Amino acid sequence: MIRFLAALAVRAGLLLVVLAAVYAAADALPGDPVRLAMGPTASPADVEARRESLGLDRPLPARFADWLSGLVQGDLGTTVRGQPINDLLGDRLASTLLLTGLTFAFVLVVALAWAALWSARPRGRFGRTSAVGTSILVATPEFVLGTLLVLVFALVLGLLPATTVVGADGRLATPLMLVLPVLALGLPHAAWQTRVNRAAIAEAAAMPHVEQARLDGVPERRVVTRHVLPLAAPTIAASLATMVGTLLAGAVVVETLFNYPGAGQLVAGSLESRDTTLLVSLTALCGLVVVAALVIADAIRLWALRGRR
Amino acid sequence: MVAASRRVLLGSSLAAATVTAVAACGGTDDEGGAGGAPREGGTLRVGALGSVEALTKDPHGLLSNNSDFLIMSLVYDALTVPGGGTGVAPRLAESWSVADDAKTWTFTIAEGASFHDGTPVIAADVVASMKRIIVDMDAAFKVPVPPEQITALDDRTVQMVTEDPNSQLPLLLRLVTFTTREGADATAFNGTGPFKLEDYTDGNARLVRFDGWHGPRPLLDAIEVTRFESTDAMMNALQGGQIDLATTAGAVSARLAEESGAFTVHRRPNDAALPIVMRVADGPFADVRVRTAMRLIADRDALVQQALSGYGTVANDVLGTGDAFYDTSLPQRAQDLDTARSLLAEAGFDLDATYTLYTIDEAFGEVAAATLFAEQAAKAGVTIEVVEQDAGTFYDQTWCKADLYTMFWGTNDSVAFYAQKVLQSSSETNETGWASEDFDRAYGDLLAATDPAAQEDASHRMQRLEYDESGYLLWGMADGIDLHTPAVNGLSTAPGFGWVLLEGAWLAS
Amino acid sequence: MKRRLVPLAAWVALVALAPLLPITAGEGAMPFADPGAGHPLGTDALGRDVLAGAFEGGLLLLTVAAAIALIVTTLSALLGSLAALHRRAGRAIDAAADAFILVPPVIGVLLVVLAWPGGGLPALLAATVLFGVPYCAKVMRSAASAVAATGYVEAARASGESTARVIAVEMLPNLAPTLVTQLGLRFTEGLYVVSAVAFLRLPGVLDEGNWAVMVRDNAPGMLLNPWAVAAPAACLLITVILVHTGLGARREEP
Repeated sequence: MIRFLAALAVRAGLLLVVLAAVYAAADALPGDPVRLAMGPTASPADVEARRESLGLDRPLPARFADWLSGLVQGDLGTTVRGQPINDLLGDRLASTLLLTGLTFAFVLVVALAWAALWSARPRGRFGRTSAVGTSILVATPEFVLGTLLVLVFALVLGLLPATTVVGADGRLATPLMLVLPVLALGLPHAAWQTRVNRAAIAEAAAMPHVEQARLDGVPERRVVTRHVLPLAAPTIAASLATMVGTLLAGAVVVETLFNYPGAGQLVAGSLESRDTTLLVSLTALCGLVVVAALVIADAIRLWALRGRR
Repeated sequence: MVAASRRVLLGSSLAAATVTAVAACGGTDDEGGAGGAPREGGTLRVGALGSVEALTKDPHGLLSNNSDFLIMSLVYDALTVPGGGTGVAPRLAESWSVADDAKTWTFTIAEGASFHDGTPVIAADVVASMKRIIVDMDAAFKVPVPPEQITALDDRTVQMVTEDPNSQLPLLLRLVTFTTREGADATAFNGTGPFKLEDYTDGNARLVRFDGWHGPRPLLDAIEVTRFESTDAMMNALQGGQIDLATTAGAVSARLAEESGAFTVHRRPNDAALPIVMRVADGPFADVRVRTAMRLIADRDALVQQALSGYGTVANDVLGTGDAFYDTSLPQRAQDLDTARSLLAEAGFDLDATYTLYTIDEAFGEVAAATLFAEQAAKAGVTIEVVEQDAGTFYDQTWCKADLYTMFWGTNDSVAFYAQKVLQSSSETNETGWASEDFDRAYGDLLAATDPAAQEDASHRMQRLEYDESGYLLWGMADGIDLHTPAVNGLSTAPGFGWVLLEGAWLAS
Repeated sequence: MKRRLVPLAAWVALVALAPLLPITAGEGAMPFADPGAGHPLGTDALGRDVLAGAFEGGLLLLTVAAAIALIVTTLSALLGSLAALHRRAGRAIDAAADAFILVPPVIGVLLVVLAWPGGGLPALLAATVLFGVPYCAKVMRSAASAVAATGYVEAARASGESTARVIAVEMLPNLAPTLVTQLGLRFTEGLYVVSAVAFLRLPGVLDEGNWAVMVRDNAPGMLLNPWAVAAPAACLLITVILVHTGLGARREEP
């Protein structure tokens, strides 16, 4: 428990350092957020007045401290245009978590099933196909895969909507609109996770005491559930936890590609408009989700190692 | 990313003939879709671009999103709107006049104008709104009048006294001067416009006709505005039947629509200027002969054909092509590489150096135009390297500073607008460092003139100087392009922000 | 091993030599024209020949991805070996890896590249290396730890050889299989990051035509000329497949 809490504290500390670094880096970017927001028609005097109204003329540490104390109280501050970030993010964060959550579940199921089949028949056609197939998928950028998926399923076959449209009531017109985004985001990750799962299972199966259990005549099912999976679990969990971060990063691209109304769309925009507060708020939320995932993985590892010290 | 149902794909080979394009002339209204007599009723579903981080519910805020701007323009009334022979049409102000000093303006509020909650509009509401824009929102550039000089003379008359003579005030007040109720929440969508808000989520809105509007009764029952992050996504929605009208869709989309044959291309000429900007104050382009040579290097037809896919018109280095006093008697410049070469030689222009042309992906065809111009310049022996920058860097390091860059102005169509913002020597956002006493004097004359003949004379003098000496290479004007199903009719062709004027639109059955 | 490299080598040679072919992009054609006379795969968003673009668009992309792979792998191998020998360095690398996991690489790379306007390729390289090394070094460390625990490394250290010499002579040669695998993975990772940067329209970096930019720029005209997207996408996929079968990620990393 103490180890677990220590790991948690370290991760929280790291997040704080990372946020400060991102805030400082974003703030140092060339470009003036207020000028960008007001456009070229505004006069320099207007821009300066606006900057003061927004408090952007204060020094960096003061602004960061302000934002941080707001974060603790659940208030992320305002954008350069004066919009409350909480309003902006509310529903979008839920949408992004829906997309990445569905994708995570997709990856979990597909990768486990695929790795199980692959481990059962490591050689032969299935094994070779899997090796090449996962290689291709792992390395295909989401936007290339997404573009090709749209070409095939929306354009040529006309089976699925190519873009996400939200009505004035704020809901997706049809849940089918989630299919292509989940596939574009999920397939590369599923392929990666399949390879990790398979390797972890193979490694665990090769351990001497697992071999011994088999030789002792323990039923195969029991060998898998009692010996192989617990051994493989920490590796699989660690990889899944790391994946949460890359899923969120992938959402940045996929949401833009499919017009999906999530928070990922905001990332590129916040950088483009040099909106430091918005960017660091997004980084914080993403970081919190990743930290949560890593902490769960830590817990699984400690559980798997229990009594083996 | 473009996709369509199979229906659209199959349709492309069959019905290529339904596409019409409006002739390139100004004015308002309208090219036929399915046509027939104007019909009442129906819901128009409109797509407009808008990014999340720029969303705003404040009509006096920074409306950078097309989607927000469209919603505001339908829910609220500005004092004046684009249109008519002079480029200015009445809206919340039914009429205006100026005293002989060309400074003291009075605007009369339209008879019967009222807010959506039923309260009549009074002059105090207009005054409060203008002051809120200038003072609270730090946007003095939208209303060039000192706030203390905006007063209510009576319930229906607003007086604005400008610091210097300004005969162009009604023009400069178009669309930005949305009026909210004095003392009420300005973000509550309680407007005075032709449509009132029924539902709003995340930049998407459903608007229904406001039967108490002071203007001519709109034919549409409702307008639904859907916000899109990208043109591609908007085009997907149009082709998937999710919207009827895609606003400011760009040239590639227009070609797509023309090929599919299922949609009508609505062109608004003189919509956007994409000039190449040369620094006049100093640097390699300070010599007027060099600037003239660059202007003669440009193959304007090729630029319009390739960078704009043909959706545009050749221009003549004068900004404000939609102006009522636009001077068509200036000889059209065309490519003349021999003259360009000899001018460059005369000026001692260094042909061994490489010149950087900064560009930014802000408008359709902007980067493409820079690339194509660099290719054309190579034919005259001038080596130009195109460097694309992101907006943050561009407006920080290049805009108003660099020797050579591209710019995008999609906000106005008048000679006076550009004079005020970027041409007069005293402008803080003078993009070229051009300081011409003659031009400043001519601009002053324009602002002080109250009769049209004197205004025209001053405007022509300004344009002549701009044509001869300024730092602008304006090779063409991009059309504004909206795409719609044949059922949509009655769209405005006014340049600039004419696409937001949907109160006259109607749907054929 | 060698035979598996043949297709990859042939592809790299093709990509490297293709720009020399007498096919010019041409100019003045209509954008997104259908395949036809003079343009076997039609034209792209600027009316240039798609085939010529595909021929010209590979070399730079592959070079950048290969540079990323080489730099990241080499640095990581050195750091990983160091970490395996010194506990403190090991902890520092773990902490760095844990910290960098918290920032989505897209944000990180965008930040670095935007912070360095006009930085162009060096900026992109620096960013990808910065965000690639901590994770890769962690993997390298676990491989190096196994090597460090073998008798001859311990013997060499006990005999007072310098850390640099131990790493160079005793450890790196024994890390060869992991190095090759990592090289392949970092190459695809590099290709991936470069493509993502291209997709997010980061100007000033890789503006010249390349497969990733072609997919991005031509996507709006996919209906008009599908080849403008399909051809560069296919080139990217072929590269990825050949790298994986050639450098073979046989041993997966967790």
